[in-house]
Amino acid sequence: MPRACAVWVVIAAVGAATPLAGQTSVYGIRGLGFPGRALTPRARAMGGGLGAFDPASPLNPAAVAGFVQVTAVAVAAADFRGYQVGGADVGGLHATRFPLMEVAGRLPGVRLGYSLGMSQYTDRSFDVSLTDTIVLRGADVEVTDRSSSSGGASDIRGALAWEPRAGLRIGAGVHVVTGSAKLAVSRTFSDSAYQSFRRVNEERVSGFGVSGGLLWAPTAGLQVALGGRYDTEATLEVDSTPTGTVNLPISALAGLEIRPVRALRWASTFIWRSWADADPDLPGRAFNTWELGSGVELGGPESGASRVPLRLGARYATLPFSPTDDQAHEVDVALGTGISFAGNRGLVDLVLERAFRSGAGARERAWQFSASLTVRP
Amino acid sequence: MRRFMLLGMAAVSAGLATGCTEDLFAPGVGACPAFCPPEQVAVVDTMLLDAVLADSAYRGYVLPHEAGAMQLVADPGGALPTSRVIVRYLPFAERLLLRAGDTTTGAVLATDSFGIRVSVQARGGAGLELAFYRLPVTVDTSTAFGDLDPYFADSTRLAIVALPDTLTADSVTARFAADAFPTLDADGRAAAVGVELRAVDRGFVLLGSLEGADAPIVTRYVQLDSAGVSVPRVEGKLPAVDAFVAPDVPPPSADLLRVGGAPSARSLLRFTLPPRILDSSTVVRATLILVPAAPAVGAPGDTLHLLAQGVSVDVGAKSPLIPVAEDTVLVQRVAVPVGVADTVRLDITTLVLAWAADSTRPRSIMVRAVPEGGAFAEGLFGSSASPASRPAVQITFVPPLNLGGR
Repeated sequence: MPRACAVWVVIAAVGAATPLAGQTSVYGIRGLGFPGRALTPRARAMGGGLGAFDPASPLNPAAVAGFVQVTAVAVAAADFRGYQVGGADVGGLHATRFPLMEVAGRLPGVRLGYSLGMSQYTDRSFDVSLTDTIVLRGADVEVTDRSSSSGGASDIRGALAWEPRAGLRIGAGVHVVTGSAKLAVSRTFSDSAYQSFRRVNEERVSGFGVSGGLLWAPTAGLQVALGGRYDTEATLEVDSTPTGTVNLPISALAGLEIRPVRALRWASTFIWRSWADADPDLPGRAFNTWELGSGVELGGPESGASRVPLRLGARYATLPFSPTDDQAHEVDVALGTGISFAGNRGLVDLVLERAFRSGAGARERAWQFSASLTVRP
Repeated sequence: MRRFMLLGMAAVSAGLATGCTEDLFAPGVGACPAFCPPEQVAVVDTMLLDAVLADSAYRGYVLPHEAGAMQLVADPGGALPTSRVIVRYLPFAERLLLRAGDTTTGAVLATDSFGIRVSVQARGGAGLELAFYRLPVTVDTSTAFGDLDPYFADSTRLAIVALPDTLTADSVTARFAADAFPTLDADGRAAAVGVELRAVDRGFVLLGSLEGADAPIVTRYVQLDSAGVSVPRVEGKLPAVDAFVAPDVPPPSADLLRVGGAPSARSLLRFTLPPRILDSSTVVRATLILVPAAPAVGAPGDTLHLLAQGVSVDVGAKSPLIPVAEDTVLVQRVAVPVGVADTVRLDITTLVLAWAADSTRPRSIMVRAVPEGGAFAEGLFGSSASPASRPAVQITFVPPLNLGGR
């Protein structure tokens, strides 16, 4: 492995030690935040359809068996966002995050793959300001309120996957959901006789989970994925004081991958999550969610046809948290590519997505860009 | 290939390098309350009528000879207290330097004249005159108002200087003849003068004092002996004592809070605030409300300025005050015009916030006049013993906000 690559991996690891987060959304202000997508740019470019099969996307632990050598993956993502709600048209919002990092490989001499990494579970980053006029001591006083949050929860996963025979992979993972958000509320008064008010609390969430899955290729060019995940009740603490619990969802996934020729791959993944279990624990509404992503990949380093792949995908997903009884949903379209270097020991994958979210009286549009670096020493 | 590798690393590193930049700020108009966080700021305003546990008034903090100014009041035939300024100067020299920077002195051969420059810091009324009188050099800070009556007579008057109605803050100079102080040598070359205000109607002036670094200065114009030749020279002297005296004022009523006057009075108030406000909430504004028992007394046209100041230790009358920056004083002081009986509202927000931050701080406030002791203006307010006019506290606060609480 070139020395420069090793140095970069160390730097990336240090950088990823900062709180992980990813996209932010107006739909992430209520509830636990906006749910993250534990996907690499390659899987995202295929609408998430490759998620159940992608070894580097921590969705299906059985896919970990797909690592054939030590591999490090780091992802950076940026989004540019705007939304419309209640007559307000807000634009120019952007954020940059590190939503995924993973180190994986295969134990020598046995068909056992391993993976340790962290990904975004929920993101609770927002900054909202509101100006109003209130009557204080008989006089109109203009006040400006600002509510902000920075942080979210990360999903740290350790997974093992076994390949008992060709075409069958079985995997299991353990998860630690942990993270915190710095919540701040402030009010300033137009009348300087009133002191400004600011309160900052740190909300910490922690929980555990287990996951399992399998990949089965009944015939060449066809692969099926099944998986499930059970998360415990998460405990919430505000400034180290327990404040309650929230039921984290049970998840189930299924996927289908068809590869009629080496240069063409079509994959779809369906995921269901029982976020409604958290409904009694949250001030807003929480709904069960499902999402279906599908996409194709043409070419690629392993195809023998083209070193630079072209990936296209689309996704539909319902969103878990809403301020009303109307559940919001999201539609994404994605376009991506990648490039390998250093004898296929290094990979850079890129994806550009356009997301359309609506529901509960709001509409949101976002451009999302993600890039990953994969190093195989 | 190596070039591609470096290119890839550079691209992703650039992404990571910008990873800390974000702009999530968005106006919430239209989005709230549905898409705003559930935790919203609420503000409560309440009047605490029993917040003052106990209070007392004390007098004598700044005596007239310690004040930064000296007030002269004129009220011909009226009921207002009149006052007189007394100044005893440091002795003039027997010999003076002939030239600056030289040690050679010359004896004073003769005095040509005298001049006294006084600084007028404020005034009220029209047609005002300052009358200067010769006083015995025995005057000092213990001299009573009545003791001066024989010396404020036509026979001892040195000069009268008119104060133009356009003059608000400036200095004026009175000039006296060489024989203004006939016993100067016998008095050890010391001089003393008294000043009184004359007015067609009522009025007042505020003169600068030695303690306020704006002292009335006396100047002697003399002839010096310079090797047999008489040369003119000037000698200025600062006061050894300057003060203003007035008839004695009656002692404060036990049922009233007094602030200001000369000698100055202060009122100490001790508070109790509900823990739900002080300990659990965030105070954004606190106001001490003083209800006048009578209109503010003092020179007509004068204004009393009040300030609420914290004490570092509550030991009653001698409680040391927590220093306040001058610009803070200018912002927080409250003007009370003489003759007006409006309710006084003093901002005590910073003091209450300090109590909330440090439970060991005495929850006591001293209300005093600023500047203090240099004028007769005085406020009289109801105390905690006066049910109808007891002090109160109006507090605006934000109740506990449990961010993230479910």
